[in-house]
Amino acid sequence: MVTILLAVVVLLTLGLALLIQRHEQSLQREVHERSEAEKEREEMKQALLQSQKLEAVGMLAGGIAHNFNNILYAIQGYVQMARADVDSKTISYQNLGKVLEAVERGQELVQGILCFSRREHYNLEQVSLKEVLESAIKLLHSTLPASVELSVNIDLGIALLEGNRTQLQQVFINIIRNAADSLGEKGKIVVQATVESDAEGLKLLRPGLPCAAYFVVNIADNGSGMSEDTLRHLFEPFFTTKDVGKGTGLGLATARSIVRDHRGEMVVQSVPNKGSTFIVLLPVSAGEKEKK
Amino acid sequence: MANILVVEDDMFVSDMLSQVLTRANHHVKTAKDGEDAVTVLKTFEPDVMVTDILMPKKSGTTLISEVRAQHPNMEIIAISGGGRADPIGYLDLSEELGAAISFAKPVDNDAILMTIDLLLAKKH
Repeated sequence: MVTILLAVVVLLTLGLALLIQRHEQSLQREVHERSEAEKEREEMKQALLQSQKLEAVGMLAGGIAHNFNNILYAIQGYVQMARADVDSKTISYQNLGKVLEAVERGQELVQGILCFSRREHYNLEQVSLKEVLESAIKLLHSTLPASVELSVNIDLGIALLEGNRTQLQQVFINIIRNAADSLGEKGKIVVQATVESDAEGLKLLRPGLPCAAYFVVNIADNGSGMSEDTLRHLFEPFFTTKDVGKGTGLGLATARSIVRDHRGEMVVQSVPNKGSTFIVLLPVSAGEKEKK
Repeated sequence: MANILVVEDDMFVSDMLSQVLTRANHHVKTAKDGEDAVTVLKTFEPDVMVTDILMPKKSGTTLISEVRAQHPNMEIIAISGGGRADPIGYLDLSEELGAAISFAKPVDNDAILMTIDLLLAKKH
């Protein structure tokens, strides 16, 4: 009798333990799911904030650009006249030259905002990414310091992309310029471009996109790299770690927006003091993969 | 020396351009928008008209299209604050309508003066 009772107690205890364990597992699962949902909500909130910020920049841009350029034009014109009346050996002449430099900086900022905000108006055509990259690099060569070593390896065959040549060129110019700025007196930038078709990369592109292959352009530098905090804000309009006057904070925001407009994605990997790699993924036009 | 009409709604830009051109010995009249320019053109025959694009009452592009036929010998220079990046393409449109050349603001003073010299030389 006692044995039976003991067996029942043991069984009940085991059953209870099992129930408690299951309950704990279910609780853990629920906590995990809630935490995932919370994370997702936070990401969506951040994405929404970002998109509202971009929209605000776009709306402001058109309105202010015209007036701002008039202001800059008046300043530039009057200063050029005043400078023509002053002896070029005087401090006043030099100071007026600095006003003109500031005007140039203002002009650069207005152009940056306009480029950023008016992306939606460009025409799409079948573009060779190889040609886009080659022309961007050709344009950049004369502006990069001689101490910067630029290595380029493009293996894209004849695959095409539906896009805008000028805008895509802007993407690579902005990224490579940014890479060059992160280098000290000496450094290296490596540009590699290939066509890939693995599922993992395709998943990164816009869901439902009818493409079987994608372009991968890696732009790596051995410059200063970025902290986690910088990486978090990297694509925000007007975010910059550069000295005043060295950057508008719109280059990378514009680049990523253009890539996304082309149904692509741009990701960054970076290690402080080691360097950064920008990876641009863009879909190959449907039916173009087999031509490679 | 040439007769030049500056059409510009921004008073600073208008005054500045007027001074730049006067210092280069040109005879300058100003109009504050396209409508005002049409009135000025009734009594003034400029060799060159420098016009802004986005202006109240009558825009630069409307002005160009209206006066082009009546003043076939007048050279037109269009300038715009929206620049080349504007979605409508006002600068290209102004050239299609009859402007000899167009510039995005801000324009270098020397660039405006040299352009006027070239346009005048072409005429003579």
